[in-house]
Amino acid sequence: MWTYEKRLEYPVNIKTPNPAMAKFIISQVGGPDGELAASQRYLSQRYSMPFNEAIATLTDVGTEELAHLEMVSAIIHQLTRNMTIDQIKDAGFETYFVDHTAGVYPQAAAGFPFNALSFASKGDAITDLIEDMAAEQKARTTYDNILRMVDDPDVIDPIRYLREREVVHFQRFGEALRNVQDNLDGKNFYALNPSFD
Amino acid sequence: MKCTKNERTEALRKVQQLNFAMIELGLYLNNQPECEKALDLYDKVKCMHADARERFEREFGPLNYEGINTKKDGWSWINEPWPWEGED
Repeated sequence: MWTYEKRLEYPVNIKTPNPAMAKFIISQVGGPDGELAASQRYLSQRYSMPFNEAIATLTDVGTEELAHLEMVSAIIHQLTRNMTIDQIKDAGFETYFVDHTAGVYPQAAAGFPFNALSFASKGDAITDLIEDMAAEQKARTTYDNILRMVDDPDVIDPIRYLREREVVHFQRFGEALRNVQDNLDGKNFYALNPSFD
Repeated sequence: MKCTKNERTEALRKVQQLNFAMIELGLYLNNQPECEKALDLYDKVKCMHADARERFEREFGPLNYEGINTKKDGWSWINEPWPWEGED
């Protein structure tokens, strides 16, 4: 089970609302490589993982992704506080506003809603851990793209933190994969599904 | 009241930093569970985090259900600030 901590993992303090930035940062809430997909990817994959090291890694990284979902949601919330209708129109935020006002809704930058097809739980330890390493890199690329487009230091700081966590998680999944491969049965030369075979 | 708010942020930062160290060490230990150096450091940081947390909750209210003190504060869980509103 989970309990709630009434604090962010890392501070988010944005002084100047900017709905134009929220329009694309929302992708890290509900887009294909966003934090909602990340948390559900890892927490779903745990059940068929055959080794304790990898189970613990998926549990803890999945839990940290929930904290990151909260951080990105806080960024969206603070970027869309106290908007006037003129600001909404000038920022091109009407398309989001008409459906969600200033509520936080998991969608991609291009507007399509969160889709569970954006992550996989294949039930194969090697397949899943390689997917997870790619997922961390895709999220890192997305944060890099966001950093190319934002100029507010209050936004840059937490985004840089989140980007760094993708790099660390990639390393930890790499270690988990190495542990799984080291533990494969010596006869399993072709790395058939160690979760099932 | 500016001063009080800064004190809160400072106390919160200690909790965030020390818990971050625990998360980092935990992720490392999951795949290197025999590493003595990381095990020792985890123990040390865990104690420091517990202290920082207790200090924060005594002054500024609960971080989770365990930190609620009904005798002193009643049902303080519903009190502001909520984490996503930012700090002053």
